[in-house]
Amino acid sequence: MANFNIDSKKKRTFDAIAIGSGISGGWAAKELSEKGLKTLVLERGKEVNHGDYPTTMMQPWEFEHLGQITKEMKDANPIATKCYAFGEDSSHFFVKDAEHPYIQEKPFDWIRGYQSGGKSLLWARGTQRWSKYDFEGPARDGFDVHWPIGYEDLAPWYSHVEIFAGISGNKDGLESLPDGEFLKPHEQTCVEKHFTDQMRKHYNGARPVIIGRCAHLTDPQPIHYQQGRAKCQQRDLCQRGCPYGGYFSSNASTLPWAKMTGNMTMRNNSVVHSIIYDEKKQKAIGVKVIDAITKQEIEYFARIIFVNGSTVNTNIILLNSKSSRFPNGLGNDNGLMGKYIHFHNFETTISGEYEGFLDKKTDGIRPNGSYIPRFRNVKKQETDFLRGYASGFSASRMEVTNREGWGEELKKNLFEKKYGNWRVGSHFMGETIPKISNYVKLDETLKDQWGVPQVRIHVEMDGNDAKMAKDFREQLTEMYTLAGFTNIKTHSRNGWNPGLDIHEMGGVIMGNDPKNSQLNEWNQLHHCKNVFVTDGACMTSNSTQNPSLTYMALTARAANHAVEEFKKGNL
Amino acid sequence: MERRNVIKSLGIGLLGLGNLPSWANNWNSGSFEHFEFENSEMFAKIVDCIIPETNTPGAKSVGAHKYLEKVIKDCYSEQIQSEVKQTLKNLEKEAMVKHQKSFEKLDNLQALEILKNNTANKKTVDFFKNLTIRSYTSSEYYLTNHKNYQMAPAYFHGCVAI
Ligand SMILES: Cc1cc2nc3c(=O)[nH]c(=O)nc-3n(C[C@H](O)[C@H](O)[C@H](O)COP(=O)(O)OP(=O)(O)OC[C@H]3O[C@@H](n4cnc5c(N)ncnc54)[C@H](O)[C@@H]3O)c2cc1C
Repeated sequence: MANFNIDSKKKRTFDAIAIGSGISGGWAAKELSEKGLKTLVLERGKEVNHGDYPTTMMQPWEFEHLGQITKEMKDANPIATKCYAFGEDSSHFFVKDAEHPYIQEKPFDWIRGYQSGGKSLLWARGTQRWSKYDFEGPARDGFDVHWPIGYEDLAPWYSHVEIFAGISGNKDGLESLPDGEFLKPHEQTCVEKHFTDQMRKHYNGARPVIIGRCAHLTDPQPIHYQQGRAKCQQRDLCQRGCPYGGYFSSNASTLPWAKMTGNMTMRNNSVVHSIIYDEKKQKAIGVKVIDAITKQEIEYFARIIFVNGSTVNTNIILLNSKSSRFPNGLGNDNGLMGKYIHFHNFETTISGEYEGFLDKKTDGIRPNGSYIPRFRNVKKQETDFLRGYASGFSASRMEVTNREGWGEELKKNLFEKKYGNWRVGSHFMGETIPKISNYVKLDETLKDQWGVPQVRIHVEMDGNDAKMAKDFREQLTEMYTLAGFTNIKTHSRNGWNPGLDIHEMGGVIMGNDPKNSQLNEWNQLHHCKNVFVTDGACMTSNSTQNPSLTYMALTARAANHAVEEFKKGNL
Repeated sequence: MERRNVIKSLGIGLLGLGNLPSWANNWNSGSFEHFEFENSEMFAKIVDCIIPETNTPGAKSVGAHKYLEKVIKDCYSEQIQSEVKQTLKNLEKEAMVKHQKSFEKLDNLQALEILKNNTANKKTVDFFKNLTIRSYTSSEYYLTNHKNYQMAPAYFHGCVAI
């Protein structure tokens, strides 16, 4: 019996454990296993191997509701169905509200994907580097906590992840948005080019408009073929999962790569309940898992633990990892874990039309748009609000369907070929200020079906956010007007709540000082160095870029540091 | 690993959908065909008179009536559903009064007259029209013959002459 236990424990012992197999966990798995560490990936959701995408080849007419969500689904999932990507073709990759309840102290739209690959199957693939101004922002503007690293620390790791993931983009030479290792860029449309030119002229280069940078294989390299991926076919059906591996997902890229090393073991349906801390060794020694289906409890052991459950789940796991050394959660000596939750403000949009280029249209499909990097307060404070915003910009031209009449007349009209004006639009992505008053914490009594405390979420927008959104509406209106656009309308997105950005960050943030942060410059818990947090939870601030590329780079950097320390015997 | 080889051997990475995991199975069954339609004759007449068969397929041959019934049942509120029921009743009543025939037995012109001139239920009639157009313009016939629809164009040109 004793021997059996030892054997069984041996089988459950690895060099490293990664919790979560989404964008960040996939990168941890790849780097750790590639460097020779026996790595266990624990994923709470179902198994989705690359290719397990049931709707991916379906034609539009094959969906029984032509893409529309059923009333039953909507009523049962008031939160998940708010996500624009939740549709008849993709609902199976979203967490359903009732299965995973949480408590909203303030309205928070928590959008989740629990499966192999996490939300990497669903994301919109926008990928921009941060600049030095972004890392320096919190110090310049007097935020409570400042970044312990700068652009120079992360730049080589941005390159590392860009080359492997495959990022398409144009080398624009902007200080505010550094260039990366780009594959061929997508093309701007006539009106997007026109807007770029007009803005260059009117603002003397201070408001560049560029083609979006995104994780698509526009020009696959040998490293991508080695992953089993092929050129993006420009279907723009990405939320279904891509059979070509045309965009970056953990499923198509990092997970199969990690598996190929022979060093990675993946266990699905494994809900990590908490991290086990050994009071004598003064280290984390493993994790406690609840099997999602059998509800059985199992322990796994490793010398290195990467926590990549996505921001809120990572906070839950650490807060729930209580020991006599850490009664308030692992590493939480300062009591600030779970605080400083921040997000991107997407609360407003603008639209318009352009009556030029009427002899032109676009052809084909582009899974991307143009992008306006942040132009407010980049190098110095210029406005009555702190920080700034990035914006999307897209201009497209559709055939309009003439729906007049009935019977044969209507039928004839439906076959008319006619184009409307060019339609233009922008969305807003505002930086928010990390604040101690925006937090997540564990409920003291309510638990989920696996015995994990439910989370209480308290995140609110503030006056700075409102002023910034107003500035977006004013500035974009001015820019659209200067470009000659008409029918310009700004919109408030009624019912938009924090969380719906799906860029929630913070709670376990990086910083130099253990008094006000949880993680050091290598993403190690200050007080438990063999635990690394490299998903959104680690972010000291949020800047205006889509965050996932930065999670990837931070993860790769931290994982390589972990391997070095492991080999030196320091962990 | 196996899957990777499959992808490789197909070159372009197009996977068959033969062996999906069990959670995905409901996407394999042709559930569309198996539903029962209480009002299918009535809806068939409605979509047929809105977009009739000519020398090209009309709304009925692309299955718009099945779509209408299904989408109304599955995707709309009870309020809208009861308005639909009421409208169907009214159309039927009017058909009987005017032509002493059930609505579904009318010829298309007669049916269309009743539909178009039904001011009491204009909102619902317009809703039928919109759904019929939606179904028709999403059909394989319309998209491939009229829209030059390609699922995977593999290119994008931002500025071409019309
Ligand atoms: C529609 C949509 C559009 C988006 N667009 C963009 C974009 O354009 N650009 C961008 O940068 N980002 C975008 N995002 C956000 C992006 O998807 C996330 O930033 C990214 O996936 C986060 O990576 P992650 O590894 O932290 O979390 P995830 O990818 O969510 O992975 C976390 C994994 O951990 C697992 N897990 C959680 N808790 C546990 C536990 N207790 N035990 C075991 N496993 C656990 C989950 O099941 C999941 O698989 C978008 C997201 C969505 C949904």
